[in-house]
Amino acid sequence: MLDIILQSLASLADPTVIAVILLATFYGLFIGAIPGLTVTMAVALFVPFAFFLDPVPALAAIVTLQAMGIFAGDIPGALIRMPGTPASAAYTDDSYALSQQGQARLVLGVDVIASALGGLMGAIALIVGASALAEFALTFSSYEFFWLALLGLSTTAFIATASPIKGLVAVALGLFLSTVGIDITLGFQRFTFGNPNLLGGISFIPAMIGLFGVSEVLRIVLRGQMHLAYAKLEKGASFLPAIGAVWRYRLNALRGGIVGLITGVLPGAGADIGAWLAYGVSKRFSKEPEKYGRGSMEVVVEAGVANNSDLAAEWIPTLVFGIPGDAFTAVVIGILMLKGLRPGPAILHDYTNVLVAIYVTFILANLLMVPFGFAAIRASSHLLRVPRNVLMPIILLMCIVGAYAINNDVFDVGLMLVMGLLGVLLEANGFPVAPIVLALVLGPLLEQSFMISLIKSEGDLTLFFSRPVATILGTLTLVVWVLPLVPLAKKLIAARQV
Amino acid sequence: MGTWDVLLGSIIAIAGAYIFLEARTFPNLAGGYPGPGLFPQLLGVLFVLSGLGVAGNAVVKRAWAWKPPLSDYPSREKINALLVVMAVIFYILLVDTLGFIPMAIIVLIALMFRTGVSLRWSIVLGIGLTLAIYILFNRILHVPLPSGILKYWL
Repeated sequence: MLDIILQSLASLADPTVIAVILLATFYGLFIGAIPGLTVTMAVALFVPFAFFLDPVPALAAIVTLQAMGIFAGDIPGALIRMPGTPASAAYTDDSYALSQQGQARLVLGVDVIASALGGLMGAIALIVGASALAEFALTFSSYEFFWLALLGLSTTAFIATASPIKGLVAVALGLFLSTVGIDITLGFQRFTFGNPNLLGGISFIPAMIGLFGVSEVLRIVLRGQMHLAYAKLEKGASFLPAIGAVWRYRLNALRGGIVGLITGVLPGAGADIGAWLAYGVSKRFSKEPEKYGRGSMEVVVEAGVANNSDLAAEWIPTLVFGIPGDAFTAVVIGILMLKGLRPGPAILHDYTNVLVAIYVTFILANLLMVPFGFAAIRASSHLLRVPRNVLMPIILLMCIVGAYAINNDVFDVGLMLVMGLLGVLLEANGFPVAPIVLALVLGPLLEQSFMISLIKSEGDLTLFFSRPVATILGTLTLVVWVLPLVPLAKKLIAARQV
Repeated sequence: MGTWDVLLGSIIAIAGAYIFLEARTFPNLAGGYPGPGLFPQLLGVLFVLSGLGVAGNAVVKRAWAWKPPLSDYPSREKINALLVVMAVIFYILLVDTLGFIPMAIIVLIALMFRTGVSLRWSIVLGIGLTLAIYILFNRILHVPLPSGILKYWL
């Protein structure tokens, strides 16, 4: 084990890797700090670079940009009340209220410390959890994988969305897109409409760039806010006071971290859900719940730790089962596949050095976050002043080149545009977009494990519940299905009593 | 949102019916085991049910207020968004003939100028950024971007 760790440290000490990590730091902080540009978009646009890099620097860059991006999303939230990424949305009102009370520098300092702390908690959970879970997952059969994939999709459709039925539509759409192309059992062409470009299926990366890049560009252009409000930070130190504030709410930080870990490990629930859940838990147990939404430092600490611990924990199901926690880790799976690393329980044995490098990068990135995060806070007013009418055309061009670069085919640019328009249309009507991506990635695993299980059991569906872990996962899935019906049932009962 | 829900829900349900019927024609595995058609058939059913759910929900709530698409946005911005879409289509159609560099310069200048960057800056940034992206992707990452009319120079 020790030699593997030393080997991984050596691979990270490579100048290319260090340069890539530093570039990813700036890239993540920049994209995260600009409202409307998400880390998911950042990683989708990074794919052509990942394609070019070796696995270790590619994954190190992704880990770094994710951690930095999620933290930097707090900056515009606090300064202009526009969360930079969805994961910061839960406590935007509180951080904004605090900065209106003249504590902008302090609240952003707290965000850095809380994010780094959460990231480190998540990293430890990832290191311990991944190997423990992988041993366990080696015993999994197609039944367990079927339920895991279905649980992930059900969570993203029913729990992570405002409207469960619309979440279900999004999942169905993604699953359908995953069936396009040559089927693996008989080599039969499904829904290709005679188009040779569709034989290999809907290319995941162009679809992803369309849904998260082009549709964001279109949405920002539609809103027409090319120059954001200008915010100025008060002068003064923030490092020690920020540490002091986090220490004061250390129990909140711990609880937030745990909530983040739990939502992170649950397939289908991303960092935004982690933050919202931590917000809810924090308010429920707080001595000052009336402050929530009006500037509670307590919740900034708790939810700020939660979203970063969540994102590290999301890598556990992603790496061990090949089941992503959210759209970001769905792209990670796409990149792992591109690099020839098949996620699954065997990954721990087959690619130990890559995995240990991921662990080490998680720790490194969260330590680097402290100095670079404080530097980003100093530069924040400049970051917010980047004119978006210059940025949007550049991002559009990067989307076009990125979509093209995977197969060197203009057809993929068309696919990207169609998915971008679909994303705008769906989101404007309240349909969530992330479940489409998750379903597109999980579709093949769900279908294969379903078909294998069905053939093994000769059509006897009760055998899907025949193994202990499968039974637990199956029951959990059914619970997730029933949950959205609870409010409906309550309404019906109330209506009857009237 | 109401009328749109009815419309989109119905489209999804109809698409589901099509997927279901199309998938029924797919072959089975040897020995009568279900083949490549089973999973899409189930998805077809899911489309129909969820589409009807979305449409039905809007009908039950009697949310009939019709809003034309994107009516929340000012018209100048809508034209800008249309321009973005047109720029990508234009790029797809002409990139093989004209090449990446001319197309990217045209797209960048047009979009920047239209969204309020001065003409001089649009031209400077359009050319400079195109060259930067070209060098990054073509020379460093080895993506074979179409050279088009510039093929004898590049």
